[in-house]
Amino acid sequence: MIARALLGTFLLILMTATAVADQRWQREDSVMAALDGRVPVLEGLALELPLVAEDGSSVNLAVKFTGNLEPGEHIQTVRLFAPGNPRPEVADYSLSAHTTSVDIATRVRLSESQQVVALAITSQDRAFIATRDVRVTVSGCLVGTGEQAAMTMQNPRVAFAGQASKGQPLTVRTLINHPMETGLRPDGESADEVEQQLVESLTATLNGEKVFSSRFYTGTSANPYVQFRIVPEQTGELQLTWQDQNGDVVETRQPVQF
Amino acid sequence: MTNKSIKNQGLTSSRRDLLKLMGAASALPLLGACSSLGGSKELSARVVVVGGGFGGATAAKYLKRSAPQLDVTLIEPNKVFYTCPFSNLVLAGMRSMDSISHNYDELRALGVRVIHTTAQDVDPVSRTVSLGDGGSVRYEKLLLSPGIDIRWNAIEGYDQAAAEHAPHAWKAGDQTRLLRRQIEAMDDGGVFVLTAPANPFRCPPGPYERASLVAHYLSQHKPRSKVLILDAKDNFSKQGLFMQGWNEVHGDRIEWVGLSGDGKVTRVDAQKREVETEFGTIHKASVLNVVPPQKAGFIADRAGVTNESGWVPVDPMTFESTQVNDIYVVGDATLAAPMPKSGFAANAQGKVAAAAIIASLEGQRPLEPSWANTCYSLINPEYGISVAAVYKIQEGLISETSGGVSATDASATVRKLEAEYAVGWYNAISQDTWGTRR
Ligand SMILES: Cc1cc2nc3c(=O)[nH]c(=O)nc-3n(C[C@H](O)[C@H](O)[C@H](O)COP(=O)(O)OP(=O)(O)OC[C@H]3O[C@@H](n4cnc5c(N)ncnc54)[C@H](O)[C@@H]3O)c2cc1C
Repeated sequence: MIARALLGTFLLILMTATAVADQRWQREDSVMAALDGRVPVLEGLALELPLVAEDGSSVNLAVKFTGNLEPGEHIQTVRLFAPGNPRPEVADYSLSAHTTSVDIATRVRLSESQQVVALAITSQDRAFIATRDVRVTVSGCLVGTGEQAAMTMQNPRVAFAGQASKGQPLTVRTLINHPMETGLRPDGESADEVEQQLVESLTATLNGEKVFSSRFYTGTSANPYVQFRIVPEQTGELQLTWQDQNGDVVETRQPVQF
Repeated sequence: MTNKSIKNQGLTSSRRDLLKLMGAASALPLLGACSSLGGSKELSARVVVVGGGFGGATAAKYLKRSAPQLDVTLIEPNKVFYTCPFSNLVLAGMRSMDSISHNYDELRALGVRVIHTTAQDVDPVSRTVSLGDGGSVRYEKLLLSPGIDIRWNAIEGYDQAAAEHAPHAWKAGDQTRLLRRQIEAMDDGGVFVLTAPANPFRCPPGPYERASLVAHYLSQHKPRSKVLILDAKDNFSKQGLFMQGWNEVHGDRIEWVGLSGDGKVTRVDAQKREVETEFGTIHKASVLNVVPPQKAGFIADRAGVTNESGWVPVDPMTFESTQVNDIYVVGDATLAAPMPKSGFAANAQGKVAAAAIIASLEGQRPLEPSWANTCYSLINPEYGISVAAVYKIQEGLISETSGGVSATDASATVRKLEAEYAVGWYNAISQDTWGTRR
């Protein structure tokens, strides 16, 4: 009898716990503000992160959309949040019109174990949400080199995964070297924090037309990396423009050939 | 899991002491071999252990020692086990293969039934393990310590055939011999390229120790040669100490390219000994050593204990699978972070699981374990560095409670002492695990 009662209580607690767990994002101001009153669809958007991250300074993240859209509807923006970080914003991505499938990958900072949140907003003002719990195990094995990286953007890189062909999705990878100082890291010497220095944005244009852009916040890892898809209709050139918070700009180009 | 521990009440004080002793033994492998554990004379259950490496051999030994009435069977295909620890010294010509070999004589003498074959499949319903020799064994409790399997083709072009040209040598044995022969045959002026994977993988400092010792060998025999590490990470274990050591000892012989410097290898052409990185750089190697992405040994998949990550989630109190009852998993196959995938950790986990199996068979509750781990790495034969940590269970998860690495800027005497401790560590854990005395 007692055992049964105990088990009953246990199950009850378990059920409430999962019900609450699934909607923890409702208590996150940043996420609620971004939703701005929209009630998000819980299926269709997928967030991929490792269950356990052994180095919170750079955690692989992928976000994919495979849900159902109305005729003519497309995904306009994708936003990422790490509500357990001192500042929850990670990155915002703007996609070109016609984007019905999303496949974006990046590397994010997670200061502790938490539930990461992705939102997608469509052209018809609908929202999709995906969440994923990540355990961050800070390991003493990781001892930094103490080397200071330059505070400017350097070595922009770009590559296509596979061969471009007309009308087919083409995956673009790009990265730039930059420390992405959050402004929250204590300075070894003084009592202050190291001054914030962020890469602010990346804009991709294909033959002059904007096809993708991204806005970075403190939750994006040092050396920002973005992988996204374009659908080239003709050959030409992909141009990537990185801009930091001081307005400095670095450009790189990649020919698109079928 | 929870109602199980509610069921298991009544803890004898002798059991408590015994487990304390085992906890201590896991921290001090030397003492482990001397601790005698009694009080389990009534137990006659069948326990099957798969894998005679660090985790499995330790578990089989401690099961049989603690509860001699237990029917303990060890399934392991190899008659001779070569350790990965110190295999980097073999690559550098500092040790023989023989000096890293161990066998199962001690386990047999203890009364463990050792069957040299592969476990092919596990049926958790009939509690049967089917074997490569056509037979099968039944169990009341099953313990798996299968180590890692390679994720073939996770890097384009790196499959089993490719490993014959570009060895991984991440399981010791023929792969170690092959890589050693290639290093010896390398022309002076050649480049030894090592590609390192993203986390998690077996032995986090292993690739960097290997690069160090290969560089040491090259400095003596092929002084115009270089070592290039292409890494899928920006941060690695003991990075500060390694880099300092490389500066002091190897100068610019070792070059390391991290993830954000385009170090992530995405394609391998093993025949040409060529690799391509994420952003399209091609590197040509004289000797190509690919340390590939990994997953739990296949038998864990067959037993249904792995999750989507390819590794095995376990209850940290007992190392019992969280997915299948009565199957315990230890060592590299598990998700035990922040504990590293090390031989030391596998050995300590083997003891915890052995104690938990006995406790469960006796209807007792397992005692809360804690672990210590020390990993030594060599920069050269006279330059050792280490990382040590203590792990406890906090809020149901393994957490690192304290830890540290060797001091940066330590004296040459200290580095030399650490290199000697590394040998002491190796001898102690070999004796504790396989009874090898050297
Ligand atoms: C280069 C290198 C250096 C290292 N140095 C260190 C070090 O200095 N210190 C340290 O602590 N760790 C070190 N390690 C890590 C250490 O080797 C592993 O963490 C350790 O071997 C893990 O033990 P395990 O029991 O999980 O697996 P293993 O020791 O690999 O044992 C697994 C065993 O299971 C057997 N097996 C697998 N599948 C089956 C099956 N289906 N049926 C039957 N048998 C099976 C295998 O044959 C093998 O014998 C190093 C690793 C490498 C690669």
